[in-house]
Amino acid sequence: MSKRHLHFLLAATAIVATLSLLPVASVAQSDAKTGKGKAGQKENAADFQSAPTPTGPAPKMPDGKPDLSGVWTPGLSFTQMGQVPLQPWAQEVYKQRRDTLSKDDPEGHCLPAGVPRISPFLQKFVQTPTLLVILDEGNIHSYRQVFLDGRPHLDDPGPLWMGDSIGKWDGDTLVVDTKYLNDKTWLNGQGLPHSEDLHVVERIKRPDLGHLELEITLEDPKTFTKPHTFTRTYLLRPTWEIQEYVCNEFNVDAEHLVGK
Amino acid sequence: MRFRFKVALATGFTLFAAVAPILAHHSFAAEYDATKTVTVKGTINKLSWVNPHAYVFVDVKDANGKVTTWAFESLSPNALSRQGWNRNSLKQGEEVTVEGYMAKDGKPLADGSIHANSRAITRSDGRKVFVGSSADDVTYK
Repeated sequence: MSKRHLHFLLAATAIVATLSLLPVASVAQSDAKTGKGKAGQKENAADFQSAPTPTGPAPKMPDGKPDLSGVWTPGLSFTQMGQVPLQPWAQEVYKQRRDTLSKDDPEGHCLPAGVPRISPFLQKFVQTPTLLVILDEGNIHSYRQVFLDGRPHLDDPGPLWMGDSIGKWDGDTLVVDTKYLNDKTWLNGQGLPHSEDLHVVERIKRPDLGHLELEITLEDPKTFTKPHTFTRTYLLRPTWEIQEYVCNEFNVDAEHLVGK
Repeated sequence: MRFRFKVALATGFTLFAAVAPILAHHSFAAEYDATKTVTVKGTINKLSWVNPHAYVFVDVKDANGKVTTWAFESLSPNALSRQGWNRNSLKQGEEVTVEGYMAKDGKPLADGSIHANSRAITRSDGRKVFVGSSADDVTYK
């Protein structure tokens, strides 16, 4: 090993040792020697996982449409919804859930998150010309199928945990329309409610290799006084993979969630 | 030598990229009391590498020699593994110091062990493992 290599190795080891002790929200310093974009680049508040986000043009499908495939992290953007204008009953429910410290969150009981709620766990997008599959590592393992083959929505399949999703291209933006969601899921960890009339439209763009931009509109006149739109940015993690997360294996928490 | 250098470098960058999000599938505040911190010294009884949270069982001996088992909830196995830890990061019988928070309901787990949440475990050589707690989870804040 050359002296230069040794120095580099020592420096890398020191950085790793330091980083492994850092609080989670910290952002790593850049190391230009990775050759994989700017390591630890502080892109926005969402980039709290300190991994490099690759740069370059977004990949295309053989038919010329953008390919959204990849392993994505939402970083902190999963918490950012803005102020949702609520009907009085919904304000009351929201307050009650916050006052009891989210003890009744369906996710605490290993139930699906619904749409569009996500957690900071990874999501894997797998796209074919006629289907987009979104594999959610957690909070519980779940999947979404977004049909791109032109089919209409199902004819009232009854309330579903993850809804019925169809997608259409608007230029380079995939517009995903989701209906038939049940009213059991919360829209966030604090307990934001919704009704079975919730209609979700996600406009998904991949402006470059490393980023996925989502503009999400919630329509639910029973719950919201007007439609609400917010955005999320996902970051590509090309060297990461989704992993097992079998929530019900040893969920001893459920019986100890007492709230206040 | 070149090979070893590359392996070391790869390991380094794996860890470099692996500072993972803290999260739980439940509200920390609904289950644990952030104001009731605890530090216990004992020996590893067992490490349960299970979902949705790994559990670390620690035997603590009092002045009279009586042994009490504590059960500390840690992060999820996938969150721990992205930070470079695995089920061999703690060995049965080794001495550790665990910092954590007590459960709110004061009730033991089904096996009788005292229920708490860990935020860091220090091994006898001073090295910290399993650092992080759902107390830092931003989902519920």
